[in-house]
Amino acid sequence: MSRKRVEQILALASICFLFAAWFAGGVRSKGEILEQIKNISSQIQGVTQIRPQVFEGYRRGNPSEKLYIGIAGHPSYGGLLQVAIVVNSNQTIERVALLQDTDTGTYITKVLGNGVLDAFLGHKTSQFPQVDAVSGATLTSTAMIKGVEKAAASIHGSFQPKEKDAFSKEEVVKAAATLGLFLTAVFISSRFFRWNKKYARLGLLGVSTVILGGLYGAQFSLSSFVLLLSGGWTKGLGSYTSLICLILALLFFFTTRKNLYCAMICPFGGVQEGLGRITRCSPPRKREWMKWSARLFTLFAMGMALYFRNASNATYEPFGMVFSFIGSDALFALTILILLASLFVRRPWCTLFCPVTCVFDFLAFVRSWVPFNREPWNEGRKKEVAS
Amino acid sequence: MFPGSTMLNYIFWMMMGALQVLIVMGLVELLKSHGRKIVWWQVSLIYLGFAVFCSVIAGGTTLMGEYETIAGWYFIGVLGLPVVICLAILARLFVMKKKSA
Repeated sequence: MSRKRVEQILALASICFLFAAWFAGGVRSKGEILEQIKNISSQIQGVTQIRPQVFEGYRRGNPSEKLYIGIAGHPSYGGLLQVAIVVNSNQTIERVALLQDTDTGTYITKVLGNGVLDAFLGHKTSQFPQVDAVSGATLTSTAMIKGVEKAAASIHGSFQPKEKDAFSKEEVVKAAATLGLFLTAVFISSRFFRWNKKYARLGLLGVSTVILGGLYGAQFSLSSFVLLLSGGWTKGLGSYTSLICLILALLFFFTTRKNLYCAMICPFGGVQEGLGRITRCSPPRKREWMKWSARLFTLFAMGMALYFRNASNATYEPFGMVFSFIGSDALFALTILILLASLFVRRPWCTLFCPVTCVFDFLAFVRSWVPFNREPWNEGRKKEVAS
Repeated sequence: MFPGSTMLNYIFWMMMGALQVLIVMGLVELLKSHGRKIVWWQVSLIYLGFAVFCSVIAGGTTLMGEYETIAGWYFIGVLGLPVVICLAILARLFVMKKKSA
């Protein structure tokens, strides 16, 4: 059996593994809601569903004292964030719990640590307190606050389930800026660009690092791939910029047959390349076992994220730490090591560890299965002009 | 640092100072032996860079000594990285260049 055949079998097995993880995750999450409600408080017994998103129970030892549990979700950065509130017959909130989150753990810990959910305890559902979002975790805090308000409204029966979140002006600007970066990358890589391509590429990389990385913090990661695959984005997102960036990267990858994102746009790649240019270092020598280890790890992370229905489980890249200083202590240590290594080898993360590179390698390999051998989009035109 | 002793503290810090001079001047001599021409203000920059790097390590380890280990590591990481990058830029400007004729 040839090497290519083995790799084709492994590629198909990877797709089957991801599908199996997604399917198993669906089976696991069925019936989860009632279990989660029972775990909110040991005082609640006899839980039954009375309306969509509304459950009724009674206090332990006092069946006449009714308790109402409302569940609602609001789009957060990584997908739908779901909260549950327990309201007594006096319409006072007794408990608030986070049922499902898809954001990075650090954001959740930061928001919960600032008492965003605890602020609602003891208040009546008709008199909500003014709770401010936590700086640096605005989307997550807003999702929790809105989730509690929606849950209270659903208990009252006044909740309109088909609420559509409109695109804000800021999101439109971000999307336009992302599209502009990709179109510039296409132009630079095309035959119509008559100037120095090397410096143009570096210039675009620098601009992208500042805009996409520093200003917007909208670099896509492996969790964005999982979000796209699992369909979590259909339930609404707090910000669509990273998803738009991913879709554009894939679109231009398939149409131009070039990985323009990694070469010209990736902000973290830009940081590494900038550091590498200080010392003029060479790229690291990538062995086969390094390549396959990274691919296996990527596959495992994606599988776990699909199984647990939490895209942020697939996040282990240092992007958030570099541009937003968000992440665990281990991620901080990894980020410092990678940045220091960038002074000695060129783009160490991109070459050796990046899961996005592994996914693009996979897509390039699968694309090569297409029966007709298509050349890059501008190569054919070059030959036409030459003849 | 040395409880029960009056002289050891002074001797320790004198030795630390002497070691720093040896390290920096040793680096200068090493560069000279490789044919680099080092002027006085470049030596001052090397001293400054080394002093800043030592300060960052000292600050971080002081925090660790005050039982703030995580803060100490973050201090070293957040401040040490820009210092190392600046030292790399200086090395690129003054060391990693074509030898003077």
